[in-house]
Amino acid sequence: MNDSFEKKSTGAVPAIEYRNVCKRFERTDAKRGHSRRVRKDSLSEAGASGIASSGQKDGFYAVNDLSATVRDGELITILGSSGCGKTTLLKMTNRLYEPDGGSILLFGQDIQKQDPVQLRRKMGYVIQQAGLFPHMTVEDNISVIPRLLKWEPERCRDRVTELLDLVGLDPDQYRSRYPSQLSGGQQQRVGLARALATKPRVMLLDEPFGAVDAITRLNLQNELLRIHRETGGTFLFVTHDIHEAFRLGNRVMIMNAGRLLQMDRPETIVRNPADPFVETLIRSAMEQERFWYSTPRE
Amino acid sequence: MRLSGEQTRWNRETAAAEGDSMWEKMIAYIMTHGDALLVQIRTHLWISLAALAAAVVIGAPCGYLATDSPGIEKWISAPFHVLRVIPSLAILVLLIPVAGTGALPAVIALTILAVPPVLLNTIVGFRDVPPFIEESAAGMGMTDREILWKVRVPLALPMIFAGIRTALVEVIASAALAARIGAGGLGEVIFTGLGLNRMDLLVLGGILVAALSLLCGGLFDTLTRRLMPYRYL
Repeated sequence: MNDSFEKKSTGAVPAIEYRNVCKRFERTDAKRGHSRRVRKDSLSEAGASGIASSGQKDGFYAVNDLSATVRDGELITILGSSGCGKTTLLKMTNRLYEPDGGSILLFGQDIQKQDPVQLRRKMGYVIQQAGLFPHMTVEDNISVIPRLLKWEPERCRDRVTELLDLVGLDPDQYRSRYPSQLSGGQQQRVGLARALATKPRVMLLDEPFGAVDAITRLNLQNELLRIHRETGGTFLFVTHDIHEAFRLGNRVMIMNAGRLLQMDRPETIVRNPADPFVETLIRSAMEQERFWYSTPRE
Repeated sequence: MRLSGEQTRWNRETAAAEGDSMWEKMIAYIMTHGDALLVQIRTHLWISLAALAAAVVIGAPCGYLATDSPGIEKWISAPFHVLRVIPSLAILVLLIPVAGTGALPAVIALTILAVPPVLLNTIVGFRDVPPFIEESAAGMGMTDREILWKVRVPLALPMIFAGIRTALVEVIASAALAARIGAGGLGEVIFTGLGLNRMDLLVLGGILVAALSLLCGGLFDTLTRRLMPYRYL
């Protein structure tokens, strides 16, 4: 397909490399502006799951000494229960959060030395609530960044058509709708299209299908796999759903309490769980499955 | 004997005042004082809109500043709350030594009245922008300025406009007081009615002020619908 990401011969340079990354949240942490609110948000999420503050009285490590390597073109799923630090890890990747220790390399370049805005424009970012702008049509939502980059109107329009086709929405029917006129699944599709607008080589997806029903989710998962195949980008996909994680990921990162427990191909993890927690996780997933196989159907 | 125009009018008015029903008197007054009424309506609108514009210029930026740093919110909104408690008429009189009489003190007093709704709604409007939308904007690579102008302001706008609408209706109703210090406007009709003890003028002035207020409110709603079609799907 023509729509492929600019694939460069990066050779052995990994797409993303996490080196001993740490992120610590203080409960008294109060910063100005939206970063303050973002921070508070995830703090309460992490705090609610009852993670004991490690060390000092008022803080805890959301991500603790995490190292991992993501190869170019991989679809990595990051699995963990809420508060395990998976979202924090993702947000450090596009510098919505700054790490307190360690470094993150994007195609061999330290992201701390790059301008956050430019860095984020090289990455797609999709969140659970889709985050579409309610005052803009689908077309305007998708072309926000292209327009900020001063693309020609015609090029923007063509790109929107292309992207709506890619995510399985009829361009003529949907381009001039407002987000409130779309279903949850359709909003996620538009969110995905918006993130793909400038052909980023890295896509960050934070539980994008967390709020849609099971049937829609299955469809969206299949679409995502197809889009990943067609674009050949590097996808980081955060989820707390073990089935989703193992179904989508080329490799799965399993996190708990800010630490990376295991990162491997799904089959390998199932065969050789590296940690008691991973074993419990897999056993509980199988336990859930048992219902479907033990209930006779006529 | 030929009567001068002034006398004719006076006679007609007196006749109207003595015999006919109130509606007839009101219609007679409109017929004889049409031009004056138009000038009064224009002055009334002019004073109101000037005050409203001033209130938006003061209230909206202050509201934004208050949202950005909650610590200073009470320092910004408290003075206006205190000022609003003082009756507008008292403010008008108090302003005479400072601003004299005429339109200026009237506009100042009405501005003080109009700032609180604009200010408070601006604060609420900015505060109610969902954090995840701001986060998603930041994550896409929008600069803080782009987030402000392309996301936060448009999303706060419906609330700000609701505040402006409240202020608009309030200001037009209160602008009748401006006539008290010689600023003109429809208040002149009402105060003349008070002075001459003529019920028809009181009612006429009241109706005109109310109609003007409703009409402007309606026009403003139309403008809001034009500007924010997504709110009315």
